[in-house]
Amino acid sequence: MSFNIEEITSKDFSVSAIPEDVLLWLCFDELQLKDLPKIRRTIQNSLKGQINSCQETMQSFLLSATEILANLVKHPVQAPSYIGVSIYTEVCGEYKMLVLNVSDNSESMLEFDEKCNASSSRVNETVLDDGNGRGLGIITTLMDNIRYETSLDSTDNLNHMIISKVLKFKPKAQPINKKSTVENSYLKKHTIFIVDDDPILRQLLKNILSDHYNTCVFSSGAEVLDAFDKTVPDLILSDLLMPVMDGAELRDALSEKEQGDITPFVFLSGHPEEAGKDYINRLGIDGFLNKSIKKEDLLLTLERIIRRSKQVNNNIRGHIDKSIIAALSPSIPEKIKDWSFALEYDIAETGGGDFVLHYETDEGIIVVLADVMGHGLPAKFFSYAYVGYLRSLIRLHFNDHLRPSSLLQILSKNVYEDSFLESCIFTCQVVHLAPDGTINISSAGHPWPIIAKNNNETNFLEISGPLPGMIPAMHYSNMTYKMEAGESLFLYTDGIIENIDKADDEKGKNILKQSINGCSSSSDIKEKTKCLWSNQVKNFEDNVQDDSTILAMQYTPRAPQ
Amino acid sequence: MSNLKNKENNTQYIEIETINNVVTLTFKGEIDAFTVTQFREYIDKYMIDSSYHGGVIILDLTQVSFIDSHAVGLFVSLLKRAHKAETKLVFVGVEGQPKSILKIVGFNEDIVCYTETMEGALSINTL
Repeated sequence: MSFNIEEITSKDFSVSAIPEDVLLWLCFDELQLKDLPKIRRTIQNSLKGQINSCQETMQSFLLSATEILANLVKHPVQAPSYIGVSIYTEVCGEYKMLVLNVSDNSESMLEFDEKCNASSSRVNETVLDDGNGRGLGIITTLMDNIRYETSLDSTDNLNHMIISKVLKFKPKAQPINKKSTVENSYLKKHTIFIVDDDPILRQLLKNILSDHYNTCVFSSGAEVLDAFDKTVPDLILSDLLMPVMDGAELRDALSEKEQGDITPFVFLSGHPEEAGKDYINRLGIDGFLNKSIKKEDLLLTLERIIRRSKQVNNNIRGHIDKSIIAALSPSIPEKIKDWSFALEYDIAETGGGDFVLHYETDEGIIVVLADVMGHGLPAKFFSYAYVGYLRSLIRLHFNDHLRPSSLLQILSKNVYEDSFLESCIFTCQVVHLAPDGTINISSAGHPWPIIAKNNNETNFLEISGPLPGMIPAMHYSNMTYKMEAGESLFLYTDGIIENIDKADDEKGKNILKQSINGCSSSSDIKEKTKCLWSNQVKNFEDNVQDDSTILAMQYTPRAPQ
Repeated sequence: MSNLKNKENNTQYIEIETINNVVTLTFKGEIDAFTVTQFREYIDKYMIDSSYHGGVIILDLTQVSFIDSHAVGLFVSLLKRAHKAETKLVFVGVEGQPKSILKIVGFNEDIVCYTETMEGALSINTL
């Protein structure tokens, strides 16, 4: 047998662990591709009790583990002699987060770090023939969070690929033992760099702190600067007076590095009189401790500084998130020419970004509804970039004589040729509204729009088209429909369908169509859309994972004079 | 008809059948980094481009329960071969996890065809 699975269930796990916390821990000293199915089945068994009802999350974990492990086997610079797979849960506010951590001691995963930062999720025939890069893109699309960490500590010299998904159910109503969470899960420990030229003091600090933190010890500032390029610690604890580069010079040098100036920095010195000196205070440090400090006080101080730093960073990040989300809120006037519009949307914090654009041509109006796939801030940023890009493209190319399909063809060609645009998947629908009620519509990977007729009949407009940029010359078709006065057209994004029925798109679309019928008592498009939203979407708002948008437009020509 | 059974586990296999200008690749089991390596070698050996020019490449995934990015890579290379040979690429019986992955990476109906049954796939050739 080429590998040995050591499966530790909650019952077997060390007494101090929280029973629900660790679901699985596998260790291998050698791994081959043929072992992957067996590992998948082991993971599947360990998850069954936890997420039995959530097949999609289960599949996401199985696939993610397969992708990461296959990468370790296929692309090692040096084959790892240790690979660990652990699955555990974390409590995240009122939700539970399921976490997969694949750790290894190879040097081959550094490229993952860069790829994580530029995660992509689209198929490109020209570069993906050998399967490179798509795995991470798929994981990014499926999972809520993905990060790569390396540890420099000699006792745990491992790389950690950590991905997680927020589960929709709330945690069981039982107290969470926070103390145990901090003390026993080494994967969640913060990392502290300790730098001191005195080897005895280095060892002493390491002994004190290593039960509570991942510690990395260094004898000089130069070593810290090197290590900082590979791993950004949660705090740096530095001696002040050291040969060659003293603590103050180290602080200065770190400020030049990315994240260097926001990493908490604490001096530990045997010369307390230095603390009051001007040059120390100007360095922007987070604490100045005397080397004679008691162990308990040292631990408390470091914990306080790390917590405060995380809190400040999270608040800033949250503020930025909100600003971006606010800037992306879809909007459209209630009335343009002979058309009335209504819009309902919900912007999820974790999902991709929806946006709406409109542009008045000489005679008509062009309306675009788009959905940038992906998760979190990157998807929001891409949406932001796409709004500007599409607006310029429409202004540059579009007029009343150009069909929406031509616009999509131009867009698709540009996406195919542009490395920035090709780095995320998006779907899009373009509609041209003519003064006589004729609509001309073209679609790129978007769900079918729905027409609500005056006789309360609702029909899909079965127009579809491929995602932009998959092949060099993509063809899109147009559909033309002549609307009568009072008839409405409903466009919507995938998020709506997922909220109605995540497992079955067809069922979701049909329920939405029937719901439009159910809201036919009002002829006002705004009221009708509100009714549709509150019947089908609002109930799901607690679980929203992706942006959801309904854009309705009604032909309301003025009565002839 | 040619078929390859995974030596370690005969629940994984690929079968290639060519009739007129229709080539059918029937997969069974899980298509991941391990099986794709073998399937690729096998496909390169037994799938002759000239034999399906202007016809149909059918990928029967009825018995496939799991695919990963390596499987997607394999399908992308088959899509490229299909384009070159002016041939349609048809997926048969795609359900569950494989269906969600193909959807995520953009294998939609405008790029390839999907049918539930082999009869449906064969009828595409006569259209």
